[in-house]
Amino acid sequence: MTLIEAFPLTALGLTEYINLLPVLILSGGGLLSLLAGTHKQSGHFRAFVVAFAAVVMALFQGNAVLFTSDVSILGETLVFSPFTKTLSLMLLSFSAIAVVLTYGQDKKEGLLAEIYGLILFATAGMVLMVSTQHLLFMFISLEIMSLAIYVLVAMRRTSSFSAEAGLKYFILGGLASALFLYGASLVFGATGTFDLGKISMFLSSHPNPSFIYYLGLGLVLTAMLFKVGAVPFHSWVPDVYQGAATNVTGLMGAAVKFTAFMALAKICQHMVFLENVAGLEWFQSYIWLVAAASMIYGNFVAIAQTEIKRMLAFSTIAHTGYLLLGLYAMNLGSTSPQDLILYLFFYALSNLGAFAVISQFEERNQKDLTLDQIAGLGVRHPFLGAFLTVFLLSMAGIPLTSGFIGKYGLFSSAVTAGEVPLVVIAVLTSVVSVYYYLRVIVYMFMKESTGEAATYQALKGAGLAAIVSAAATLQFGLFPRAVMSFVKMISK
Amino acid sequence: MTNDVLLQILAAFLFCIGMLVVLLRRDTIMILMGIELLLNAANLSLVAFSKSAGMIEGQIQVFFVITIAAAESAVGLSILVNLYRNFGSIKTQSATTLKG
Repeated sequence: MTLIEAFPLTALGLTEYINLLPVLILSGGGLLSLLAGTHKQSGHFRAFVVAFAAVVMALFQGNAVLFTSDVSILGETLVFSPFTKTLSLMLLSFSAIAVVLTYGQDKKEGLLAEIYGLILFATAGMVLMVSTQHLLFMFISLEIMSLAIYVLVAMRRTSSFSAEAGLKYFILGGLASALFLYGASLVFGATGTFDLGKISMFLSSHPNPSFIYYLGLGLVLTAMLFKVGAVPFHSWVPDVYQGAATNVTGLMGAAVKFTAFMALAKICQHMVFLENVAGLEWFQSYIWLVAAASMIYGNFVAIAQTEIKRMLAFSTIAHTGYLLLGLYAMNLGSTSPQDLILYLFFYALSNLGAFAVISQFEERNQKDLTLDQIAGLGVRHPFLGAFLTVFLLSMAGIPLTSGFIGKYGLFSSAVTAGEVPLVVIAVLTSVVSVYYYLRVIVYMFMKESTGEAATYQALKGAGLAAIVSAAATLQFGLFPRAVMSFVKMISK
Repeated sequence: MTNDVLLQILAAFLFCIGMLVVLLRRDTIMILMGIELLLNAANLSLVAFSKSAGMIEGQIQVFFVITIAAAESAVGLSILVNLYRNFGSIKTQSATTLKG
């Protein structure tokens, strides 16, 4: 068999190119932004303009082709349907906010102008990751994303925290990628295909796959649970959140989590949540256990934290637990991932906003803001204090913010699906979470700083990002119907 | 035992060695080599599976993986250089400013 026979090179037609265009714009824009960043005086500004223009162009282009007919490239390796295109649009909007958030922050933290190009490359990887159904292509797009993120984390070059965080993330991330690859290879050995749809078809006709399949599935699941930061594999999360520059932390908490979780949901849908296949109930209980452990561990450890970014890192572990609960409920009842998508979308926006506010109070190369440093912050800067309050309330799931809508949808669909014990754990632990979110608000508005208070350093980009995220958080919290029915429609 | 099974056993063996290197060694260069070994073990297993199934798909994918492994080691080495600048050493026990 020759190569051409095995891979018939189909020339891509116009519709394929139009659907691929967001990815092409992102990667081209990333390269241009690297070039523009080399200018001696205004390199940062030029790189920012190019990167922002590229993301906005990709957003508009993706929006324009949103409801065109489905296109699949390379024999269903890449599928562009309204569903995957909506996920890409959400990722592009996070990336646009992150690019704006970086502007101003880059000079303050001494980040190189290359940061804009790297954000775009990471976004291109994310868009590919949510569009694919192919295990190895998933590995490749995961690596395109992760390689850029490793560099972004280590980008504060003069800060030892950042170097250490970069190293930790790189080693553990590399290990997880290798586990994913070996797992994919074992699954290929057991089923003879990398395509998730074909794997689930193979399993429905072979209900007793060989033990290699279970081994491979375990490795793939473990790698993805690592990427989303669920409990036994969470040790990198707090360190990386603290060590990375705050704008990068925002991007990681929003876009990387969104991507990894959508990939995990896809893998679970096609490889774990199948009826009549022997042995898969063990993997379902594995997800159950990880969900419960993440919720309990994340929330209780977050209470003990006195630093804001570290606290948010532990709270993100708890949010991973809630999302895993939603994932587990998909197995039992509704198979549509709409609640997961809404929750992730709302959470990502509040997350980006919270880090946008925090970034304006940090000194250069500062590891974290302590609770004592933000005491009285809301009195001195009422607007920023109010924004941070909105974001924290949204993460806690208080009504009138989007976080409530997301959490309500997630928990109620889990109850409808009949998974009561896990929902009880989720509700009880989210009551615990209200304590540490409210404590920050109490410090901001009701306490006076005893030591040295954090000084405010106006960053136009971060301010704008905070305003946009706050507006979105309130908008989706007060008038959620439009976005809910939209997501429901596309995820059918 | 057929060659296919032996190749899979070899791949699994290499994977375990890579895993042990990553988990036990304190030298970051060795850890980097361990990650490369993990990826190459997966490559070997992919090639062997696609050979025994008579499909060329897995063998082609290996080229992509090799490219990615090269990119990954480039990024990894630059992170090591950065680590050396900040800590004056590339041992993992020297970089302990964060709590986790």
